[in-house]
Amino acid sequence: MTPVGLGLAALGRPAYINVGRPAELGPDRDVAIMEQRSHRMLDAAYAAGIRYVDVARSYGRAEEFLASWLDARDIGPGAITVGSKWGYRYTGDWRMDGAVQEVKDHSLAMFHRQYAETTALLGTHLGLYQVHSATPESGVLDDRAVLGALAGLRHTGVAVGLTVSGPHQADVVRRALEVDVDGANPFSTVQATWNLLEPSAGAALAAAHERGWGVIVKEVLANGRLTDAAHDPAAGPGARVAERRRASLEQVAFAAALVQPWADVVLSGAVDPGQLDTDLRAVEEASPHPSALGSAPAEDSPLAQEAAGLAAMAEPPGVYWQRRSGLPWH
Amino acid sequence: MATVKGDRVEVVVDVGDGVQRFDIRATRAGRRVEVASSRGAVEVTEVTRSGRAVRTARFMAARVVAVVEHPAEDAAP
Repeated sequence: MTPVGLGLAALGRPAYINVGRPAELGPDRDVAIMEQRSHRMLDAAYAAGIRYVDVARSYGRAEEFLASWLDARDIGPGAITVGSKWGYRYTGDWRMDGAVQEVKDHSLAMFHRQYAETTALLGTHLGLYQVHSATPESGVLDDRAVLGALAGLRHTGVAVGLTVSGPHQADVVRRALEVDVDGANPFSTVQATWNLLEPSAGAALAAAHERGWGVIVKEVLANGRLTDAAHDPAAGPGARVAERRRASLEQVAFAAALVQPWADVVLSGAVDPGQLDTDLRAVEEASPHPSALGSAPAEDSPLAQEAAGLAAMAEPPGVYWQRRSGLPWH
Repeated sequence: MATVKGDRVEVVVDVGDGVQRFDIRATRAGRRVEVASSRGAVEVTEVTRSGRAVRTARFMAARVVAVVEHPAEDAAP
């Protein structure tokens, strides 16, 4: 699997919480236009060697857009790894002003319904199916019926993972590592938020990696806060490093994630090929072999070393997540 | 489960709090839809005239309540 994956969270639906989204996408977000944008991004990512794509039932029509792209480009199962998720239902009804854009439900019924919906679209392309945003409150890691169903899914050849969000990500990852269903843990991957403002899950992700789990990193740009355009005061140290390095803040933030020794895949949430190109240049900055997308990042590359030294940017997890939950859907 | 073929296959899945129907159709003339089971899953595959698979929907066999084949002659004129 390539070290960079493409996430379609921001392209499968008209509204999302990323800072700067109105300027990036403009007002025209009908289904056909967002599908075209998704296909353009998937084309650019595929051409760049990216072979992991991240979607979810709750990302509006992201699974549908991916399925239509796979069909249109005649890409067979196994050519790329597709990871999707169950546990949130999209309720935005393709409206920008929907008061509730997604609703969480980690019940067994929701799993069976959404797995069928996902595989009706993606079928044998689906390589990884994840619990979407497991939290201590959701109780999903203590639900024996759900865990049993996930173990059954694993036996069909689909890898099973979980994604985590919120200030207690690390606790949930550690709890997930201890899950046991008939002597085996159904999970083999975890997807978590890690970025220069919210690195608190790092040690738990390292433990997961050590256990042999695949670790997928999301939100490395902190939903747009770690971009030059956002001018977020909390990103000041990163912006100064970027200026010194003649790089962008995005590249510093992306490289910081890439050089984590436990990070197997870092997701790009780019919505246009230019943004993806910026993210991929971070790979080159972090790699001992520029332009070799599949090569391992170098912890001692100059930019990455500076980014890794920006630990002081970290916000208390509670503060970070409270701010994130206040970001508008737009 | 024996392999069945048609222009359209309807798969009825037990989703826990009811059933949900999935309709998989051949998207172009000359293509057909085939159903087979594999590794605890029911796979519904759209194939070209030459037999090449172009897409496959997949359902957990234990959750599939019914598979209904709709051959070409079911289609409205």
